Amino acid sequence: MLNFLPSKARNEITRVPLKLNEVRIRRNLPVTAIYAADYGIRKIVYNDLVFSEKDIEDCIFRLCDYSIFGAEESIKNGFITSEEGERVGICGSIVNDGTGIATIKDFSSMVIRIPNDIENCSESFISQYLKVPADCLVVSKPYHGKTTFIRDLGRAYSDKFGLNTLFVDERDELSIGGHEYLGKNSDVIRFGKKADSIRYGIRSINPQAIVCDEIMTVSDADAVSFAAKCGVKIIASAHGDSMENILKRQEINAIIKCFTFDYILFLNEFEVTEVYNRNLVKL
Amino acid sequence: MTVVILGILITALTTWIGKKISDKYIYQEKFLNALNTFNGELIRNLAFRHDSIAKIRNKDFHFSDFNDFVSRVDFDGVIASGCPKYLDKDQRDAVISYFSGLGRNSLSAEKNFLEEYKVVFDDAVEKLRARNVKIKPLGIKIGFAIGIIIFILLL
Repeated sequence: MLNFLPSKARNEITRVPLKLNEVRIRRNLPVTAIYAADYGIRKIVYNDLVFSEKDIEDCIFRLCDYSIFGAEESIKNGFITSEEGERVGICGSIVNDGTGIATIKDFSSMVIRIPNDIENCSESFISQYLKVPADCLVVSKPYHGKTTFIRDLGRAYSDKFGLNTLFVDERDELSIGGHEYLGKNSDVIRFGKKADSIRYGIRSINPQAIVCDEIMTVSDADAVSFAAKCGVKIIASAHGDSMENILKRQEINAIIKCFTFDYILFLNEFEVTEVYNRNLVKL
Repeated sequence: MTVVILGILITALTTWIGKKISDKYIYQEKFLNALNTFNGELIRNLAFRHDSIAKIRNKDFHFSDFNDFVSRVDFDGVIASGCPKYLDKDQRDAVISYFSGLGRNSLSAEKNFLEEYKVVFDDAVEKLRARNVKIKPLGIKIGFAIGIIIFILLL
């Protein structure tokens, strides 16, 4: 865990006997870490751990396996996924090349999110609503368990329902470098753009279900909609906190209005709090 | 009889010392040749696979000294201490400069970086090869000659 950090920082952060959720490293400021405790979350500020810009750059270099060129696209998108599946968001100065973001330089901060895997966290939803596989959109605010939930749901589609399930894993957060068990009937396409991977997957491996994290753009939504119309079951997730708000997002509105999803679930801290059907009626 | 045996031993010793002196230059050539092979591997990698340098450095570059060195290189800066002693200062500086910049570029910049060093390493290996054609037998010959002279003087 956190192998890309200097050993002093890694040792200090990981020796706390709590489950690490997030680490925030800001240039010339103390490192903060958030842990899951029985009574909620615990934030620890490490006053003796201060990273310079060079320290952050070195961490990013190690994170890229000493090969910035291999993570160029990830850096442009503002995050890099470590071999252990930690998602590292990076901030700095964006360099534009006229066509878009060329790269990020002068790194100023890193936000490290530690992946979770909670087996059977979707079990109660499945037993209550899913007699047969259905199209599901999982919605929550950031860090409330979307990725964990859809991974578990996808695993259930693969193992319980026996569907050939394709995990479209743009940021390697679902399979975590192949470390996570995703089901015996599962295939994974990693690091591809969602829209490309979905179309590629449908053409090449004939999936019966597709799991896709975080629909962010119109092209993501179009690809998901295309897959659903091809008869593939969809499990997807999106950022949001209420039905009212997600309907304001163009890409989500379009996909919901074309009746792609049988169920729209809202999560709060890994728990399903609301479920809507395809007519947007709360169940 | 003792003098003859001693003379033979001294000749063998000086020949061996002569060989060792020329070996330094042979090792330089082998090291830089392996470095050039490593660089070529990275250029080919960038054309298609885009594997990380950390993965590529585990391959065999046909010279154990270089294999050891490249597997131990700490890209964070501790390169100098790992450089073999038989490298000259210029060669050592080139190796340090190469590994300090390696992997820190975008794809297109990395290609340019590697191509520039390919020219440098090709040239260095060629010069060493030409020099070693002369030096390799010369070291042994001089060592042997010194041994023979000592032998004659002993007689």
